[in-house]
Amino acid sequence: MASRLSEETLSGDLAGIMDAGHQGLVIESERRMPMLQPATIDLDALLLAEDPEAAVQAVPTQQIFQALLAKGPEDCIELLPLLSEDQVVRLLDYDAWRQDALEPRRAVRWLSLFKEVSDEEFYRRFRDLDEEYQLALLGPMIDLVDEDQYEKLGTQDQDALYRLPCGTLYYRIKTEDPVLVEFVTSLVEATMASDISYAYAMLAHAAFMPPHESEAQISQFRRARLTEDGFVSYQESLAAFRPIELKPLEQRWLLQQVSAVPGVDALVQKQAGEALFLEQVLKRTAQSDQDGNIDLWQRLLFLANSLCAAALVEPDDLNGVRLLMNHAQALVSLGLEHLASGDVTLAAMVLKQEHPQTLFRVGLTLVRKLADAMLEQCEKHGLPGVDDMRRHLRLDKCGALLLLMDKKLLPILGFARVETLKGACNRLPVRPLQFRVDGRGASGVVFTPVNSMASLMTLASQLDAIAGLLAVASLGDEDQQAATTALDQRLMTALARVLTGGQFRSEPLSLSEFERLVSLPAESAQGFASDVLASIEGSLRLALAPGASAGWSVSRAAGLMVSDPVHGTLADIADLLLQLGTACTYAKDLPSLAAQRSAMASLINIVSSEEMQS
Amino acid sequence: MTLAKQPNFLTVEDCAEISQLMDRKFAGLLKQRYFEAAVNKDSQGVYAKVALRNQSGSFYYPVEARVAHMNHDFDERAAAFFLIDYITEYFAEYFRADGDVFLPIDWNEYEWGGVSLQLKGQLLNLEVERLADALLAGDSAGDQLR
Repeated sequence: MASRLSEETLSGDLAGIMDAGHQGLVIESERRMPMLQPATIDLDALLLAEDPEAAVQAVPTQQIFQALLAKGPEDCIELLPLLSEDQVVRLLDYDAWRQDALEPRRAVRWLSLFKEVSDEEFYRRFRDLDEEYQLALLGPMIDLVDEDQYEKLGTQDQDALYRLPCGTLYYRIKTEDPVLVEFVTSLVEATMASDISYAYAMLAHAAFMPPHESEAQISQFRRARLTEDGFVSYQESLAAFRPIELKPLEQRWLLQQVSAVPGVDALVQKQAGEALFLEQVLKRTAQSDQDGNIDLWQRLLFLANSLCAAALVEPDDLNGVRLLMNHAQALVSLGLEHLASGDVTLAAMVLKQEHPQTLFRVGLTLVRKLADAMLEQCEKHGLPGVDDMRRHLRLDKCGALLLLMDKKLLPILGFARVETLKGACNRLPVRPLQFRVDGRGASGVVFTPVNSMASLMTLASQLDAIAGLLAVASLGDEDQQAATTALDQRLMTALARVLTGGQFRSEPLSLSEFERLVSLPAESAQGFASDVLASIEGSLRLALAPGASAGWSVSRAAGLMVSDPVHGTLADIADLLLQLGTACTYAKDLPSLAAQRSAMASLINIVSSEEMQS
Repeated sequence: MTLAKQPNFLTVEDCAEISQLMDRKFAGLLKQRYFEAAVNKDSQGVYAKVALRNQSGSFYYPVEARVAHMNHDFDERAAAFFLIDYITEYFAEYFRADGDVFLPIDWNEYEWGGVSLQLKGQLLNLEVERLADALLAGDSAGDQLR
């Protein structure tokens, strides 16, 4: 579809959306992190404080902003006059911009609230903004007309002008947006009433300012201010997602671990449903260091803010920031648990000395190593498009990578496996939590952040299962069909041939082989299946033996000790055998060979009728 | 809104593709809901309707837009995409504000990129409406509303 929407707005945008990492996938957290959620600011309590102005101004603006949005700024008129000049500017920094462009209507929403307080307050608050903000807002909306120009205009144009008190100058409002028109007229009236010379200067500057100059300047100032809160540029934000060298960090904390004397309960046994490791560490330190935990929360918020640009989250997107905070905590917790080897006492030391961004990158690197090892296996087995995928992963182009996986690997690996792979390669790494039917009735996946070593091991096992299947399929055809035939079909064809007494080969079954398969008694099939499973298990374990060159395990390649890498592959093979058995039982009852063939054609490769005849 | 076969205008298949693209764009925010897009045109201009809904219809939020494309430098197809672009932007804002940005229920003037368009939207519960219709028709299915 050659269209603006499909090519630019949606399709073109889709890589960007997928690149952001949080919007294109359904993600739900397994665990809540109540200790790490920011305390909600009670705006009413601030108003009742002994010195309300000081109390309001002592709160970080981002928290005030979130509280105001949650309550609705229109319902907070009493509090607005108590905000400092800097806080008002920062409110506009957060909320009045979209993709680095000032949106007057959004700014006007905040500024007009001061008019509800009083005209004087309205004028004062506008005047207290940076000069560039004032001009960037008014410049595009104001034109100044002198008496000579006025005389040359037609009656209709003259009627559209507003006369200034001197009677020799007029101003025109260039926009037709009623909200903006109302704002400008109210502002000029309020300013005239309070400071007439300032009003003239403001209008003159706004009218004669070169277009976009003030906006460009204030955009720079805004960026600098946002950087103080952690909202860094896109490039800097991407830096937080770069893998980190693990060895030096691991060695440093391994030495500490050896010298530390762990307490009786220092080593934490993680169980499903337990609190996040990070929370357990914070609980431990909360008794002795409450201030430290508040400081950590600020640092985590700073980290989440710094991820915003890469994740395409605007500062005013409270949901987005909250979601990033959850992901940041998940990976920080994973990195912390890894460096401290699950030792809470040591983790408290790590947390004090390492910056959350370092821990975040440690967590991210652990998952990236798995993803890279998986792609390496895919490339080794000749799956299509994998060299491009590995390049995208190296260049951190997660969106393009995910779309390429959908395009190239979906027909080969199937939905569930590709989704698992996509989760591991996502900018914010996730693993499948459950498969379910979406609102439209199609298959869908709910992902969850990889937030602990246990969760990482689960993901590693899932990837091991895929890598194991690729290795087994390779035994059947030396990967000659890897780029063109679905993995399940290759495996099922080879399994079917073994059940009929042949070799484990995935070339299409001949007619006689197919007939033998369909007429095979169930008991014999079960016996053969057990032998096949045992044989496959032997091959897989042999390839994992110390010194073996053809290691297929992704977890081993990433340095993770999954309890049994073979288990997932065997379970999947057993499932394929079961599907094959069920299909054969069904096919047996069909009246003709052609019908039987057609019933099983989606599962296994059978030579075509023409080939049979020839 | 029905869609007649018109040359160079969006087809039903195009609309289905648009719906699926929007589903993918907002996948993480849909909460078991999905989009349905449709377009139409008459002598007054081009119309687009994108509904965010769940399967049962208990959540049904159609957002409709129209533009008198002949007043602007648009052909009908471009006008339809312009409207759908605008509605997509609206839904981005809607999700960002956690569903707290509603539109007027009757046509209201908006301006985007110097083009005037009209927009309306209303949150409906089709499930309850169906039951109410059944109740009024004396059907026993409507008894659930009593």
